[in-house]
Amino acid sequence: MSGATSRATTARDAHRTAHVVGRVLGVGVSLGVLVIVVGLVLMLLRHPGYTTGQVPLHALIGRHARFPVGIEGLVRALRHGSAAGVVLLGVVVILASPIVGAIVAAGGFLAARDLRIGVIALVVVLILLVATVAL
Amino acid sequence: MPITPLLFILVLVLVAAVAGLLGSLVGLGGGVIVVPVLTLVFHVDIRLAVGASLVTVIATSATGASRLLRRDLVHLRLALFLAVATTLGAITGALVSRHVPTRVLFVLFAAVLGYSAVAMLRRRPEAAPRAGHSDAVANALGLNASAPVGEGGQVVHFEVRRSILGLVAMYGAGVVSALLGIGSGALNVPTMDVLMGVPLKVASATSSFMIGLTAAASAAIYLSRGQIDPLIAAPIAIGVLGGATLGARLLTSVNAVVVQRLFIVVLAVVAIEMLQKGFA
Repeated sequence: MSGATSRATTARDAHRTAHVVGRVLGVGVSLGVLVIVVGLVLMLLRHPGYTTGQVPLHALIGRHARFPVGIEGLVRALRHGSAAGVVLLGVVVILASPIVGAIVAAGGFLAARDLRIGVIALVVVLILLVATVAL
Repeated sequence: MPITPLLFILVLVLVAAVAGLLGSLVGLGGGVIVVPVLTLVFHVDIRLAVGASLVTVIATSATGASRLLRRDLVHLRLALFLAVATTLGAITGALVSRHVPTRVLFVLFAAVLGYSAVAMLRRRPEAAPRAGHSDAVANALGLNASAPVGEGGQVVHFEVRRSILGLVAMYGAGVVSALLGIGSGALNVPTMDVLMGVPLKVASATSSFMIGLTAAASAAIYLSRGQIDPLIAAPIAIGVLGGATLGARLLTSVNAVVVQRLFIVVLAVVAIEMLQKGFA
């Protein structure tokens, strides 16, 4: 995709940025899925009740299910070596992939001195970080 | 026989794989199937179902966009410009969702399913971009572009118009995505294609990248609120991703019309079920 009216960013710069963002997204999701699979295997190995039915399903997915909540809960769960924490870590890696992609895009446009679109990309990053940290 | 957690995980992976496969064959995300299956079949709270679905939406979007970005089909500048609105809309939707009665969410979901089915029925083949002049915002941000979407990969130039109106529409798409846990590509694509003059193929590819950014904004809020249960989100993400990957490979070898008709029937049936639940 080449922008006809872009003064500063050449088609090559834009293509390179798109390529790097694409790679970041692909690697992020693959890594996230890998961590999830490791976490699920750990969970099943550590809790034999999950396979025999001694642990009721509603205790895990019902309204009163207990699982790590938010980034703080994730850090606490990982410190305790919880398998559910590892699964949630994989989920968070997937969730973070587009955010890292947006950061890379902002960096690419700013490095190419395409300031307008670079600033817009930074605004998107800021919105995503506010949603992650402050809300 | 009671369902054990292991059986639940395996069934979820399988159901999500079918949803991902069907979704990728007809160009819709798995979310439109995943949320109804979780709520109607497994009686999962709709807010937990939406949280899990958002993770899936990000995973499928990132995988698809990764390929499309490298093929130079995503209009990255336009995606970032419109993502300002979709992410703000997603934050609004996630914050509001807590106060929206469950029944309203079911009815809204049924409406979106119905709309998606009708849009699929009326889908038109790729056409040349409509003639029109770009606006001042598009000119200032360099949104007018060229892409290899013509016959035989011919490069076609197009001018983006109604940029501000597009932003407003995308804000609405972000709200809907966050409320229902869907990608809202069914709203993004017509906005870019019909309203803003972007060729359909570029609009679809650009939407697939934006969907991940949008869902990340709302998923972060669902996560901090304890509405992403790893045991629900994880198997679904794996299943949908696997199904979508298989679907992308089968795309050229299946009868697209038959799959599309089948999916329309599925959408209609699920919409009626969700409507019944909403009014129950």
